[in-house]
Amino acid sequence: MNKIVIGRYLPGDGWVYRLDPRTKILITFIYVLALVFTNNWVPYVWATAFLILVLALTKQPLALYWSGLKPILWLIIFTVVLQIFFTPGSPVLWHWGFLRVTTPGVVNAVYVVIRFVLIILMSTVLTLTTPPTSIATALESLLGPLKKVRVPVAELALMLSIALRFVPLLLDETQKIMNAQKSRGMSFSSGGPIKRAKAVIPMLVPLFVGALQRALDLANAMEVRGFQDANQRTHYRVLKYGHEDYQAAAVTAVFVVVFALLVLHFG
Amino acid sequence: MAINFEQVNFSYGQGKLAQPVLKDISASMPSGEITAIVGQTGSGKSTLVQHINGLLKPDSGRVVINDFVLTSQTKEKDLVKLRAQVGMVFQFPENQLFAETVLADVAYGPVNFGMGKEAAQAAAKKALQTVGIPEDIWDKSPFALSGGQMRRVAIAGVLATDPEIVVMDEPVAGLDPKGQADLLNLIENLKGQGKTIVLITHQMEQVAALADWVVVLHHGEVAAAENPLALFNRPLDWYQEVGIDLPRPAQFAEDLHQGGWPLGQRPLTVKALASQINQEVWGDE
Repeated sequence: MNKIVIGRYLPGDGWVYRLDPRTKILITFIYVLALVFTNNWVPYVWATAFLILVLALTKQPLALYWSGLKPILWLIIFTVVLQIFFTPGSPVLWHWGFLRVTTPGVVNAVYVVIRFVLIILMSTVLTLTTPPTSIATALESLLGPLKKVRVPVAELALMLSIALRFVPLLLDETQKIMNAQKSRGMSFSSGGPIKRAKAVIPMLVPLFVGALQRALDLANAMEVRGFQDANQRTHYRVLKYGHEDYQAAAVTAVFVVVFALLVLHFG
Repeated sequence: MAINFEQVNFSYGQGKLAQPVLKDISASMPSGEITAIVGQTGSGKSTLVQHINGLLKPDSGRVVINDFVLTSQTKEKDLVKLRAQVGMVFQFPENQLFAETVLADVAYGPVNFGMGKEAAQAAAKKALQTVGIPEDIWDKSPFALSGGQMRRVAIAGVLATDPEIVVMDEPVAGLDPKGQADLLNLIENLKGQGKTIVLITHQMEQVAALADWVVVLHHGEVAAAENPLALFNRPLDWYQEVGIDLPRPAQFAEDLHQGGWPLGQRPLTVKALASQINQEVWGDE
């Protein structure tokens, strides 16, 4: 369970960690968006260089990112196979029945892999260097304008951060209940499919009971401390752009401008 | 020796993120007796006892439980044999209740370990009687019971498989004084039936009153393994270092000592303390 890198926060002291979460979300968004506009290797080289800079600024070992990519290797291989065998065009390099390998197919496959890896790595940087609660706060701030059209942004952000807060708790709880039932002889690995499915009940019932109980306790705890309306609330952590954010904005602007020029020139 | 830890090492996580929790643990928990495991929060107590029924396997070293040998190589499917011998009562065991009736919940373990339906019901009824759950609530939902009753039903669920070894992780936490006393009584009765008990606790009075043997953990290492009398007659700064207290009678005697009334060996129980004071005041009778 603790091998998963994607989506996980890992404390550190790299430069990226000091950025405002909003900056990181915006940069990730811009980066992913930019990659959609190109199908040429030159802009990709430039985008890769930018990513390497970002990775270096997180001060986390590269091996960590590599292990983060491994779980999605199969997804990548699957996409590559689809691209290689099902892209029409010429010249046809090889064919068998309805399967054919074309030059555009191979080229596309290569670009898809690169795009995939770059996007995954950039999003991993975001989640790896930003605590989930900060992401929730940042989203609330970024989506703030939607309040004008009556979207309950503050409530949604609160729900999001509560949900995120419960994830490690529930994982922990699951482990505990699993241990307790294993000690009482529960086994997931024996018997037919029906027996195995039934084995889940002694896990799920206590988990739900516990989660509901926790939710009620939390609601009470919030109410006794005077919670009424998420809109009127201030935050313990006030988001504020610092000079790192301006530096990041400048670097990103340079990246975007050069990237755009490269795309215009090479396609 | 019922349970023997031999140079056991264990870490959570792997590689760079590995956090060593047990470091070269060698300790025994004698058969048919009550062994208390004590130590500060985070000293590795819960991790240690989870090796006794194979929920965790040692990274290196081995654990011998009766005639079962647990190493890093032990296969998952062999562990069922071990778990049938070792009952494990976790902290707040009431969180593991799930079935529609009290009786069905308690019978869950026996059924898993291969008892027929009838036999499992009989075992469940016996266990419920042992923990003192009255017959008229056997068919109720376990979620309709009071906290103390839920705790006892959960413990019955562990005892129903008639394990030779019973491990309890802070079983009295959160119970009222009566509930605590009942549970401690139950533990003594289990010992009377010849079971081996391993008890994690923070209350040194319980250790003094119940335990035959104590293993003290400190930062994942064995700081002491001895009987309670020896344990509570160590130099004072040692307790500070490993972060445990003296039982109250022993602390009282220590306070008297510092006030100029040395009583000799520190007493473990109020009774022993009283007789020592008597002796000091009135001399031998």
